[in-house]
Amino acid sequence: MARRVEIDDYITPERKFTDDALYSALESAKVGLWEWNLKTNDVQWSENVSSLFGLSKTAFDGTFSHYQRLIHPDDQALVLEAIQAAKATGKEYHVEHRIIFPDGAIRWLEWEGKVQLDEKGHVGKMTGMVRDITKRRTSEIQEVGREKLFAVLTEATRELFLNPNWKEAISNSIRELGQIIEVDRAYLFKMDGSSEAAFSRISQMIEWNSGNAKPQIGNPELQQMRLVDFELLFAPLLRGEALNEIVNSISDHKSRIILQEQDIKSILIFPIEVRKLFWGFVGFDQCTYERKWTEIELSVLQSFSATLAGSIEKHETESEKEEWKTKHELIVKASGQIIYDYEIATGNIQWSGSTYEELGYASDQMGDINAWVELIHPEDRADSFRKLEEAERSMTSYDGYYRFRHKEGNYINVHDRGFFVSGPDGKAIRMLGMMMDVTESLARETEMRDIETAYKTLFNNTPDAIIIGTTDTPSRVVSANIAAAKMHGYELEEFSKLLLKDIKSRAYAEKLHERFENLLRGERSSVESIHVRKDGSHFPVMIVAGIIEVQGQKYVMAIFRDISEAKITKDKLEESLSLLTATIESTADGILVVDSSGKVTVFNKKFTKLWKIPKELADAHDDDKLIGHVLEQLSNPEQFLEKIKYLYAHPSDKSEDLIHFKDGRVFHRYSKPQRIGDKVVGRVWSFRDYTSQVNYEKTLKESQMRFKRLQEASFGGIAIHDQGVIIDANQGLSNMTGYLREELIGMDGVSNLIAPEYFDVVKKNILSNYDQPYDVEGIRKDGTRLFLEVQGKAIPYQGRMVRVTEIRDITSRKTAEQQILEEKTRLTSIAQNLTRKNDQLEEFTQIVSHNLRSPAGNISTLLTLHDRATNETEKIEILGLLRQTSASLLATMQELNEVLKIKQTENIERQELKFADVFEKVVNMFHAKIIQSDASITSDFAAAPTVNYAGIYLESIFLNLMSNALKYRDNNKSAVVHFKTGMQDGTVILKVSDNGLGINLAKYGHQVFKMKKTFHAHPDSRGIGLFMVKNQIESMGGEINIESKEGIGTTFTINFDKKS
Amino acid sequence: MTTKEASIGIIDDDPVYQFTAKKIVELSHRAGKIHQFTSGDEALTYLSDHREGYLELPDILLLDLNMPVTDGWMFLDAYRKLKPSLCKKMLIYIVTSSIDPRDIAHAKSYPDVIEFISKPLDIERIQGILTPIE
Repeated sequence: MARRVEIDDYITPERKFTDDALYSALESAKVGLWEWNLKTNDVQWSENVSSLFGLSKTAFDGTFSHYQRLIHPDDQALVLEAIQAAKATGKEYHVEHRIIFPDGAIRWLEWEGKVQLDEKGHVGKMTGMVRDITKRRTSEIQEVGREKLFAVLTEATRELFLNPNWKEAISNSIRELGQIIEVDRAYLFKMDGSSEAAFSRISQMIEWNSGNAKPQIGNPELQQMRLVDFELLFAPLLRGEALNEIVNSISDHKSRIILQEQDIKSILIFPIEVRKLFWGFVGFDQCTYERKWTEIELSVLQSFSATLAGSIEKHETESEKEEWKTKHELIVKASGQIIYDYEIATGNIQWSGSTYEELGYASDQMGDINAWVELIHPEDRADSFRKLEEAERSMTSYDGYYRFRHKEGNYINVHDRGFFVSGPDGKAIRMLGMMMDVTESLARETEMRDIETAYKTLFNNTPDAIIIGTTDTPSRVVSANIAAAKMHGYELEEFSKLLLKDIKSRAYAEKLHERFENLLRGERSSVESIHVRKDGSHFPVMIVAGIIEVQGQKYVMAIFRDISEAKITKDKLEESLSLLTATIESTADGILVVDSSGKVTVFNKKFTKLWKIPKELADAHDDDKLIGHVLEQLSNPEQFLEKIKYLYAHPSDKSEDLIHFKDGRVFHRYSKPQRIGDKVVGRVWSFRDYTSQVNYEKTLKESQMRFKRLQEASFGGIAIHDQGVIIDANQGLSNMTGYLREELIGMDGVSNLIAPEYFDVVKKNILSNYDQPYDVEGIRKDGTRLFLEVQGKAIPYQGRMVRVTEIRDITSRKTAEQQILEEKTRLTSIAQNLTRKNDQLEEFTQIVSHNLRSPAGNISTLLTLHDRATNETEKIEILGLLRQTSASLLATMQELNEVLKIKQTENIERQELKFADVFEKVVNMFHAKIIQSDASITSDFAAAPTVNYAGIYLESIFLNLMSNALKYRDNNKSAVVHFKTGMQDGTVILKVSDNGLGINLAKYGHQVFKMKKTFHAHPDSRGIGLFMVKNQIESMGGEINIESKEGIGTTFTINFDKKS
Repeated sequence: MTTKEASIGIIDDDPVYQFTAKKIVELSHRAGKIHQFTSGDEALTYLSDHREGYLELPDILLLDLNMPVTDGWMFLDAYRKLKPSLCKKMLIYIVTSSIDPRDIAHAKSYPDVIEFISKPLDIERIQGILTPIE
């Protein structure tokens, strides 16, 4: 696999460089080398490649896939394409692409490589170099357009760094930039102080204005703005990020308002950091439109702000330097120091500092090294000079005391310290140093010696015990005063021979070493300890100890005070009491402290305020009156007293409760025993006004109760649920579903209460917070189903959003709907039946009218003719016709009667009939005709052997169809008639097919089943059979259809029970 | 002014009606030759056969509607096709026992039909029919 190689490994031996120069050249040119074995896919990189990737040497694992991951996603394809192309063609590899640094920065890399062929001429490996071309690429991009911007930026930068008038430089550069980028305002804000940025204030310092917007430089709002007040506005700046906002879309109200008041539409602000601290910002306002900044504008302004920051930093550093220089001079002067810079080669000395003040000469009157020697007191001259030479030779610092002559002739004592600066040859070339007048200090030393004597006297006579001991272990007493010896019951001489641990109780003696270590670390505090007298008795002491140094040796000096005395105890108590009082007063609670006997010891002002205790009463400290005042205000004083009594009986109990006032206020009362050590010495009561909290809680509780009541009162079911999991449910839902409320709570309502086919819709509605009612089917505990109408709404509940869903049982409604639907179907079928009946009736009327009218008309005409007949023969002929017509009329009447019978007998009795029986009977009836016409009559009733039908009708159907088939047979062929039953959609059907004449249905289809319709000029045609059959079939709820072709044959299909 | 008596064609499958109709026409003393057809087909065949015989073609047709095979309606449809080839335009009267308003309405859709007459046919009626011819 891949491995990282040192550059030496990579370069072939004959070209091997060991020269660091190549390496550093590669490094500084940001060029890396690589070699890729295409056969093994092994990649080798020069070591500096990782830096081109922005990675440390160890962070880059050297594999191709790691490199690939660093490539900018948009350039991935490009790189792979280039590789493929190079591999395929064997030509040069060249690609420029972006990579992403770990910090997110985008860099451009250029890769150049050559494919090397192996001995067989195959593509073997690819070697090449990679370099960082970010600078070139980015400058290329930025040079596109807007050279003007850069010219201005350059000009602004020049101005900032070259104009000695710093403020003018900033004003000019801001103006120039503001003009060219066409903003309405450009300005600079500066932090007011150097305190913590987030808490400090910022003020506008410089503003340039285009004239299109109102100047803001005098706006007091923009002076001393507190950063915390405009947190959202300043937060990104404090993080070092630019603020680029369309003002109307700023969410922070306060920030938006202050910008809108300045008519700003878009704002762009860059933070300025000076020495890595937030210094202020430079900003640009657009007041006429909402401006979107281009990348180039942003980058130019960004660089400008950086340049500005640089210039400010430079300026501040310079002014600080100047300040420091002046300050230093002052310090030097104030401390009476004289500074010199002695150039050894020339002997010249540059003097500064307090030469005039100390020596009476101005700095330039002091002269060279010879003058210096001249001014030294003759007695000290040789020694000083010798010391100087010695220091120069050994290049150590010079440190000497000598007397130096003042201009006025007198000598002052100086302390002279100097340091040598060496040249390239290691020899001293100059000496820098300072001289200080120590005349006074020397005088003070004398004084000190006197003070020493006084100190000794004090040491021995002070009532405080003082011991000086060694810091080693065991610590010996080196020196002690009389008081110390006396305190411990020893004579001074005796005491001075003791070890420190001899005067300590065992416990403290053991801690001594640790204590010393603390002291040696510089700790300086007072501690309490227990000491032992010579007679073995113990006593408490207060010790203040410290480390002193005497002639380079460290000692412990401790001052003891016997604190067993009562006075000290009292002092201490008072001290701690005042501390306590302060603490008590500073709390927000009303505090009352009572002692174990119930007497009030302390209370704070808040307490008197809460309990409305007048000052006189408070000052009086009269417990009975105080309690009386308190009780008066309470709505249940007995309970209050009881609680107090109980707590006195149980002094170590804590208690917490609410006290209700007559005026409606509510206090939270907390009580806790006051302990000293383990002993309960009293009780602390604290009170807090809880009225508003309690009222809030009460309202909340009430509204919860109301909700609960509503829930319980509702007939429907109500469930509060979180994504279907029921948090609470009412009795209604319990009644509806058959689950106990306890079972419902915690149940997944969707999967338990809803029919599975509705899961999806319910889940979808919960997710989308659908709030309209919709119908689902529910499942009860017993598994039965019910129709539900549900409607949910999202509500906040204990800090999250849940749904309150109302569930109504609409089973009865659904059933009613179902019934209505059924009823409607039934009515429709009745209506259809009626329509059909009506049609039949109308048809019947027509038939009756036609078929009766015809013979009746004939009779009437014949009678007229009879009257007009002129001879007997004619009369006889007419009478014959009359007879014939009346017979025909009678026959028609009978036929109509039969049809009427069918129509009237709606509920003719049905019975199970065998088709075969009826068939046989009819065949027998037509026996003669069948033989005569040489017909072949066949049947197949296997598929449906029986039918539940009216016997006479079935016989009529068979008879008429058989008769029809035989009557209209084709005389050119022998007749074939086939009866066949079958099942169709669950009902019995009969098909009767023949090979007879057939009917042109296109012509006669609509008339086939009408009465007195005949379609063949056949002597037997009466036109009643099919009409009868049709009426019979329809009266039984069936239907008859015909299929026929002239010359081929006819098939009648009877469906016995069409309705089902 | 009588130049010629109108010839009548009676198309009806009812033999009794054929007898009475012929008698009544004769009694009216207005008609010329009487053609009797017992079916629509028979009438059409005759008309087709004598399409150019002006004297053979009847002037007036009394047409029944309810006949087997080719009924009155079918005859009318066929006549419409045949008409352009006939040398004489005939006046067609529907004479039927139907009083069905649907039939009456349907009859109006045939421009060749002069009138819809319900049976029985009487002498006055025939005289009325034959009058315009004179």
